Amino acid sequence: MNCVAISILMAEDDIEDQLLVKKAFKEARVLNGLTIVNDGEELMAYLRGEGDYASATKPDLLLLDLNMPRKDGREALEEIKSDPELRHIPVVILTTSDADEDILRSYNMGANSYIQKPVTFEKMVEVVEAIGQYWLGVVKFPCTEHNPPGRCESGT
Amino acid sequence: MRIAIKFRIVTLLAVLLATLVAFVLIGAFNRVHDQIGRLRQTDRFLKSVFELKVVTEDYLETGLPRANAQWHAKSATLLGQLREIAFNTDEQRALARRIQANHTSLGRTFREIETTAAGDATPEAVMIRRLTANLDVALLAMTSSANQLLEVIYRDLVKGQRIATTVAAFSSIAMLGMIVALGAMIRRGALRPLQRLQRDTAIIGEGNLDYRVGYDADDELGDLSRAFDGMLTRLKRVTASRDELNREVAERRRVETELRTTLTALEQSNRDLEQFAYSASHDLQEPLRKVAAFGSLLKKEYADAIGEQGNQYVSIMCDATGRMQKLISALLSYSRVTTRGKAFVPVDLNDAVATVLSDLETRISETKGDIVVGRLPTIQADPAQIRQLLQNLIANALKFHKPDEAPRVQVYDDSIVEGDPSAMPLCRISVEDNGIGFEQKYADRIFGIFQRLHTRREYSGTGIGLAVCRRIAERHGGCVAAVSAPGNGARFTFTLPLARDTSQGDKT
Repeated sequence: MNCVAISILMAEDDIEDQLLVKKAFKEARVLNGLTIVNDGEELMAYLRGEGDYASATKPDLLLLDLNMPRKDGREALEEIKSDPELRHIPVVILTTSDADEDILRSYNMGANSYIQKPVTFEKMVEVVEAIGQYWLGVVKFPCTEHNPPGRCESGT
Repeated sequence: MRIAIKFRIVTLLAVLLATLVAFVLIGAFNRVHDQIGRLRQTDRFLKSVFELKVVTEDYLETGLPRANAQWHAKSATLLGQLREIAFNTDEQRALARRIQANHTSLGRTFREIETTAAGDATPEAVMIRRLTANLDVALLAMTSSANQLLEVIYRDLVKGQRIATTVAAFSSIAMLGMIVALGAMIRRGALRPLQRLQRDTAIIGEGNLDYRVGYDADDELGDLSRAFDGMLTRLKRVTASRDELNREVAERRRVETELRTTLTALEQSNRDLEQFAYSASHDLQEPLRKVAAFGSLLKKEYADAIGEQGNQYVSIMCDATGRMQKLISALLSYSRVTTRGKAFVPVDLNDAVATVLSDLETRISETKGDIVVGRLPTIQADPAQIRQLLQNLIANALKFHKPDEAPRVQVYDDSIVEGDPSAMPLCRISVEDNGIGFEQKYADRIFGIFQRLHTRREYSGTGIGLAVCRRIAERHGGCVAAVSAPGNGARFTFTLPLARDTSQGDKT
């Protein structure tokens, strides 16, 4: 069981991967609000509430792909983790790369977890389930406007 | 002629000359000395003649027997004195004979006088006068002769002195001449060649090593010159050697720089290759991932719609993409043998095998495999790659077991102990199994990329494991080979050098 109040934002440029993840979420019965942005620029705009995303609220959890056009995940990660307003958001890197440099650099820049996108759909479902169990079931998030204390406790 | 001999000869001649001169001079001065003696004796004789004259007058006057006795004594003494003198020329002797004749005549006359005086009759005055006159004459003659003798001897003395002086002068000149000759000899034979040598060494000292002294005489200086020239030849050779060595060192340095440049270029090339291989494999994987993911989605969501056959088709597609993914991974790791090769360090093969067996634990228990490991040496190697090599070989040994027989694998040190001790020490390790084996004619082919001897149905695998083994072995400067027969298991042996001279390893 997970806390449905936790909102998740995913930055992923590949349409098919977006579809797979959405399907995996459904399959894993993770019902949290999942918003998707297509690249680093959109991501930063969303987080800062700029332009089209003026009304957006900051997510509680961020799933971040590294390889994206315009602004890639590495740059975005650096920006996020150096921005005092956005630093607190846990970032889970979800990418195809298994390069040591990417893994090390991501953790160095403050990423909270690093997951390599699984190859098969079944495994993707398992990963999403695991994300659900851990990030939405075990860990605690700081309270925000739309997530006031009392509304979400572990086990709920 | 050698200088030393020349010196000896000259010294000998000088000594001889000096001796000769000494003898001559001594002789000459001895003669002078004798002559002076003779002169003195003659002078005394002359005095004696005067004394005899006095005695004669005395007797003539007195007629006393005493005076007579005196006269005889004096006469005898006179004769004795004359006879004592050793005359050395005929002239002197002639004069001496005359004196002696005079003396005899005097004696005769005196005896006449004695006889007359002793006679009975009184001598006549005229006879006395005659006898006295004869006596005078005889005395005078003797005096005159004695004076002449004195003169002659004196003249001979002066002559002798002059001769001695001349001889002394000539010998001085001769000695001087000898000294000059010696000086000239030294100058010509020794001093000039030495000066020449000195001048030549100055020229050579300037740096002209081709110059030769070339003083070819048959003496000590000639030897010195030849020795010097010999030394110059050697020096020139040594200098040439040294120049050559310097050139070689410069060349080596240049080659070293070149090598370093090449090494840097190769390292860069490796990095580029790695980048390329990784990117390529990564980008190739992406479509495969999609096919696999949507394939399984398709099966999941539309299983009924596509039917059993349709599901089978989808499964085949997914399996194919899975295989492709494995092949791409295999190719990537094959290229990484080079691009991700690490430096060589001492690797204890016992530990390496232990790690591999631990990693293969599942497979070992699945196949009920029994692995026996002998005492293995420590070698200089890339630890991860050696583990990869061992893992591939042992995993193969486990995989290709006989259907009804559990795999039994032996890993042992197969090194040849005897052999050429000067050759590089080698380490041979064998991995032997009791599996299905293969025909020996394929023993080389199986190490090729993607080479398989069985269908996928029979045995899984990409066919790259052994290619990676060979590549790893070759990167370490060694090789790997197989021996087998169908149904008789197989023995894979890899041979590696025990030590490498650089700890950097082979980055190519």
